[in-house]
Amino acid sequence: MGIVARTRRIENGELPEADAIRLAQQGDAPAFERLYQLHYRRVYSLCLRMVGNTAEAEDLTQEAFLQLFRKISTFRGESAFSTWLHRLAVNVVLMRLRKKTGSETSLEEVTEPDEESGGPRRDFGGPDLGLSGSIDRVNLQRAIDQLPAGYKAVFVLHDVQGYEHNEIANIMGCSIGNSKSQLHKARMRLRDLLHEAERQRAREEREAFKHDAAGED
Amino acid sequence: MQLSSISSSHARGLLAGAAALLLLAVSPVFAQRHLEKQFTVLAHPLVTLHNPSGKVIISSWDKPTVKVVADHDSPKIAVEAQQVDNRVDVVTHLLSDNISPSELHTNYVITVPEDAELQIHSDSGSLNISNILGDMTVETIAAGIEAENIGGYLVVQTVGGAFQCMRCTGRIEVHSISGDIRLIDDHSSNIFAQTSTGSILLDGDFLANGIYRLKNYSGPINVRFSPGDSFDVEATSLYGKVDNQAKLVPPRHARRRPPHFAQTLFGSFNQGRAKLEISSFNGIINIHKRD
Amino acid sequence: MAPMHCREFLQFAADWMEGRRTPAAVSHLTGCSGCRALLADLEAIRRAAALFPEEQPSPRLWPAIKAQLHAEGLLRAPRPAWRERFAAFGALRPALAGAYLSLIIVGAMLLGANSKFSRANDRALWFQSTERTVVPLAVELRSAEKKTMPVLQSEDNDVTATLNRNLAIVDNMISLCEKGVRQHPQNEMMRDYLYSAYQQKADLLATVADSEGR
Repeated sequence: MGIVARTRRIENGELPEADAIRLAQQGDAPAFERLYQLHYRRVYSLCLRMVGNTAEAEDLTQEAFLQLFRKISTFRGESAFSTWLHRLAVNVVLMRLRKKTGSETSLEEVTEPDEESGGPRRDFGGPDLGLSGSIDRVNLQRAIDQLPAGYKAVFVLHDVQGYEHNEIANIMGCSIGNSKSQLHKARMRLRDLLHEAERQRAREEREAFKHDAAGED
Repeated sequence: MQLSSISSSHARGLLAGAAALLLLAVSPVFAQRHLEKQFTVLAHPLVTLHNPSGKVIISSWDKPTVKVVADHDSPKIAVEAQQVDNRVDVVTHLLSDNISPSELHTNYVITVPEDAELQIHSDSGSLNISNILGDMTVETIAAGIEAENIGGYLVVQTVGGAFQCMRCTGRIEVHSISGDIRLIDDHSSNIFAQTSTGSILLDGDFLANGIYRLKNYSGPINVRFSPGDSFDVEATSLYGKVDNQAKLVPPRHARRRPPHFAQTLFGSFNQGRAKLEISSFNGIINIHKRD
Repeated sequence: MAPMHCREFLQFAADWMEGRRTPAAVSHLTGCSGCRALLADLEAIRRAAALFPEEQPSPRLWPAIKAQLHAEGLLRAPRPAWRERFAAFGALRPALAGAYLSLIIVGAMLLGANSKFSRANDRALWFQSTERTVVPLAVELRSAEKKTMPVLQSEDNDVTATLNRNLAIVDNMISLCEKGVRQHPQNEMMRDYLYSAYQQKADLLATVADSEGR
């Protein structure tokens, strides 16, 4: 393809990803922008789900893309570019979360209280606390924010962003079995957190009702 | 009597001083060039080095600083080290078209934060890199490379220089023509090593789901394993030999049919958790137990 | 079939969510509202997570990244000062670029030619096909090599010696691989080695051009 035709395609944003990668490896500015346009939403969404606030998510997205463009010459095409980029982004986020908690957070190291000692949690005497149909985005994000970093990463990659376990294993550097196990633990923890949030809301409503009733008397 | 003794010792002192001055006068004056600079950086700085020849030592410390120390003997060389934001570039400049190989030598000692990324180009001499967790690209023609405790993605391109990597944990990719490749005590899940006439030695851990690909044209490829290791292996030498000490069972996966004239080995050792692919044009492939 | 209890179902729940079913698990669920509620909750969480929209950062993000890339000098190809002294070798680059392009075409043809000839199973056809694509490439590489010879002959240092030695090694490899392909033109691994040998030669000639006679 001639240079003029290629330039026109870049300006129209039609440049195929493989061409954009090759040109970006030579320092071509429009090619960098093309790669950003192809991937920025998913990377930003990943960061936002992981840290829960827009300012920090933008900061992390910027850092992920800067690292990507600094090392793009080392990309050899043995994995999909998006997998490679997401691996970078996840590492950037996990490093930031580790700095915040002051400890190494490893996918393998997180231990959970034994949730399987009896049957599923049964709540007696309270309102119907089934979650079906009642999870809103705000509550779910609040619950995700409370997950340990490793669980959070696998949950966001799988359930929010739709990656398969073999892709997550590639991104996170873990085994497929680990990815499945951590996902399940993440969902079980989220379930507990969401139930707790529901109970707290129910308690607050009862208190408010009692207060109102006492006021009327 | 005393006066003459004193004047004798004084004369001796004068003579000694004169001799020293004479020596200084006739000795060649070596214009020692020395550069020492420090740069404050943020997390994950990028450090690049372009040097035609010399001894390069790169290691890490826990300060957010890049320190560059350079030494050379020739006035025809100038060393430049500059920082742009979080990137430090170090370049050896040639100030003359007429420089002999010995005048080209510039030696570096560079200390970086351990999460630094490195891009190094040094045509000859030696490269010694240790305790770096960031990714790294190293290009050389004839320099020998020794890497130790490297955690990031390491890509090495060499023509004739030998490469040794010890206790490295990141992904490793090495391309060489005649340089030998030695991978010792590494704990990496992805290794690709290719040389044409050099030898390859792989003597490290086989991680579950790890992929290890070794390829050469001639020369030996040596792989060491322990009884507790677990890998699927496919080893083919078109015109050479395959010598194996691992007790293998038939593999679980389908594989392509090897040429009838080649020596081929395939199978699973223990549960076959890692994947080992070895090929040679006419070299010898040895898969031997560790001593 | 032994009945499954809640404790066992909890251990199986991860597999259930991955789509695995067993008669014991299905039977347990029929009679256990607690475990049904658990699965319903996990499904609800999965569905809710999938509904998160793809978010949009502020439009100032790309300009900030671009400014940083400019500041770091990543938006232009870095050229160390010593390379600029030897612009004459720029003429070598198009020949090598052509060689690289040919290699990509050759590689694709050699590796993709299976389907065309496997039914024919004709060694002569295989060999002709390989020769047609490889010979022009070999000519191009020889032409590029001739341009590097003055560089390699003019200097006497370990870099030049290494380059000379390795050019001889690669030429020898090409010769051995060509002989192998002539004997076994249908062998994919043999062709793969020949292709790699040409690639190494092109890479080496590019390195010679970059080293600029030091």
